[in-house]
Amino acid sequence: MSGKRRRIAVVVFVGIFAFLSLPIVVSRSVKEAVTGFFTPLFSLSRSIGDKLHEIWVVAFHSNNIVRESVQRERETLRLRAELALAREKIKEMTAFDSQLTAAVRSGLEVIPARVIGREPDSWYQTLLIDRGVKDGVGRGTSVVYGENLVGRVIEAGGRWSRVRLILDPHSAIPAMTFDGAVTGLVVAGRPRQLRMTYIEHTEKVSAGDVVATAHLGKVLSTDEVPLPQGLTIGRVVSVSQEEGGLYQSATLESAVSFRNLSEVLVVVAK
Amino acid sequence: MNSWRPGWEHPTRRRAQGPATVLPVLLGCVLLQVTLPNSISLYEALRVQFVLIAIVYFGLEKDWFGAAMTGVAGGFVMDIFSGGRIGVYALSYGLIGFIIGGVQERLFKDNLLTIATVIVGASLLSPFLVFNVLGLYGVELDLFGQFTGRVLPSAAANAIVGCTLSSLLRRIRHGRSAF
Repeated sequence: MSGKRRRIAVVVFVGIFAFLSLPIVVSRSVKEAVTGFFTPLFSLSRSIGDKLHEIWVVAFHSNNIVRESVQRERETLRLRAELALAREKIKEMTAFDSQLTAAVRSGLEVIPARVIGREPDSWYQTLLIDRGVKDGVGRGTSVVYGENLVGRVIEAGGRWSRVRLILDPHSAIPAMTFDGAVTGLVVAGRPRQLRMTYIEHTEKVSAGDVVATAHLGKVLSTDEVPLPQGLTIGRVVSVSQEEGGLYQSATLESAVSFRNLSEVLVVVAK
Repeated sequence: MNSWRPGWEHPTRRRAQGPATVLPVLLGCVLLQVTLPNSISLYEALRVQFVLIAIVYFGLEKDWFGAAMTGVAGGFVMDIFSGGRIGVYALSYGLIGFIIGGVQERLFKDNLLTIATVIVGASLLSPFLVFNVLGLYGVELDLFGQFTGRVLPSAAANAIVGCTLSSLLRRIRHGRSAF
């Protein structure tokens, strides 16, 4: 009996190793097939999460008001809590409206998407959104906040997609300064920082320069949607010489608050 | 001589959880991990690894084989919902389950401190394993950054949440305080 279990365990672990050794496309296809089943659950738990957030806002404001004056009437409390909730909603809607306006101004054809899930661990930086192949989303589709690049789609199902954030250690975005004078590759630096690498040491880049995406066409993969040119990635904070002295690298600061993303825009065309 | 006394957990009465219980729990745990950061901003900074806690909890009740398979199942569920290759977490969590299942008989599991220690140990071991498995496939990650920024706070949060849940579950299962 013990020998049989040992054999099963060995087969399972060898099987995992074998699966790991298969091309990443196989992993993605399996995930695309399986994740679709759970998309309704994500949407449901997102809705429950929103409700919990509302309860939290109401409770928080109610608590503060009670501290200020215990004698105030319950009706006033309720109205204030409702007002706080409405303000919260207005703030959310204003933020979304401004990002939509910014995207439209820059000539992007976008569709709004809700963030329904995040990475279960901290090794990768990905988001799950509620738009998929049926909405015109494919692998490589860019996701923005306003006119700022958030990431690119790596897996797409019927009504869901997984977006790899530009902060992910596997992300590499061809980039250039807004005037096109300096080119490089934007990768994830220290946790939650961006770094533009492979900048020729002869090129002049300085703090404050705005870095945007550079269109390289379908070089690496033919089935991926190409990256549109001119999406803002971030602003240069500091520049340093890389080891060996062949290249320079710049630390960038993105205008996007990646932690608080609840709605994003998916670039369908430009 | 039979050393069991009323009020103690009888060894023959302790039933290990089957796949019908373990799998939905693991799935629920990963759904929590995926959706909680949307609702609670603090959670984004202080991630609780519910799947790992579940693997430790079930692993402490099973032998090496059951614990390893629980780890593999939990890791596989994590792989499905993460942005990386399938198999990274299955392998890492499978090994963690195997280790827990192998040593659980020598542990005094009714002590919360033991559970906390095992959870912290698993939380610290997990990034090393993930880092090494990814390293085998040429993926370079910032282990030091992960440790200082994420792993240590996460291990502490795991221990607190794990002990609380474990205590609650035991109370529910036995209808009395287990500690």
